Amino acid sequence: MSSQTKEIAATTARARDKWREKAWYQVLAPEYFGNKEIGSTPGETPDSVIGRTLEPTLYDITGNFDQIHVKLRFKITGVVGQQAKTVFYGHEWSSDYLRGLVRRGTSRIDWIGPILTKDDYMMRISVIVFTITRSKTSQEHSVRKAIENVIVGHAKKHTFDELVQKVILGDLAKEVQEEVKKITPIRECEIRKSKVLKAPEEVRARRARLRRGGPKAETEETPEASS
Amino acid sequence: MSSEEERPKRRDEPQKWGIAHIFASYNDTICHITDITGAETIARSTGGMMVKADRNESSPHAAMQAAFQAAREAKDKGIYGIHIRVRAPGGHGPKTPGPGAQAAIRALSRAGLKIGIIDEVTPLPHDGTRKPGGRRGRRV
Repeated sequence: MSSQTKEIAATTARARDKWREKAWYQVLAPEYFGNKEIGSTPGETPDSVIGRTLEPTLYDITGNFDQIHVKLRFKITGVVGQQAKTVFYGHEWSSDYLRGLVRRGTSRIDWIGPILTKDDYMMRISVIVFTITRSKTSQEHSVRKAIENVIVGHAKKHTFDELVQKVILGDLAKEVQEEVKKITPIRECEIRKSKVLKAPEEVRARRARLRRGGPKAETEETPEASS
Repeated sequence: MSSEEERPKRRDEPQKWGIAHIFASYNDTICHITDITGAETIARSTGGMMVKADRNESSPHAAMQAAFQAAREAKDKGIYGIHIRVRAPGGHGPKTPGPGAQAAIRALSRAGLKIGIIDEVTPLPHDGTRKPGGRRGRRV
């Protein structure tokens, strides 16, 4: 019995030592969010920290309380000294905020689509529009078409960093709103969610493969599609 | 504003935040405190560790004890505040958190940890598999 308790004590001591060994790395937001500190995470080696994601709200970064429902997602890509660098990995509204906006007698029009930025980042963007009255299906269709035109057009013009800023701070949503307003009266128009699907290397590799062309490209394509 | 700039230097140590993942089903309550990325466990404690009878594992009392225990460990390790993520089993199971969720949140705030954002993260299917039990329901 006593040996057992000793063993337990030994394991807990070892566990605690392991905890002590871990260093806390300061996590910084990307440059386009002002390099602000967004938290700290413990890790044994700098390598162990890479690849972790964290979800601060937009309120943490801008200090604007109206933006507390926007959850940002940053992924750690590298460590310099005690500081971890991150990249933008996506954002999403908190689910209760979204649920509060859905109301009876009005329509909710979603558009979700992949886009390619100027510097070859593949992103998926979800736009949500709330109308004042129930909209006809034809209106919904034309609204979706208008959204697609604006978003895809903007994505081509901007680099990833610029686009992320526009998406998060609502400039892009405003421009979409201007277009959609002409079709039907709307209550709200925002970008609800975004996600980075592919980094530029991956997109470029795929494009190069396609350009090589022909049946060979197809055979190379299949394993990627299946996985 | 100027005072805020000075603050991080002085208060670097006690300003560590974590996330409390509270899983509250009708059979148990799990209170799991991690760092802000969710990759490193700081403290973990469940309702079943606090009571003897199996049927009490999900009770508010057990949840409170578990949350207190986890909070104590976390505070020992230098955590200053926590964000809370509550979840129910979700999927094809029940989608509302069990009786222990509220008690656990209360206990965490009573234990002296700062509470940040409280979020519900129950995994909701966008249409998944069929609930077990068959068409005529579970026949006991």
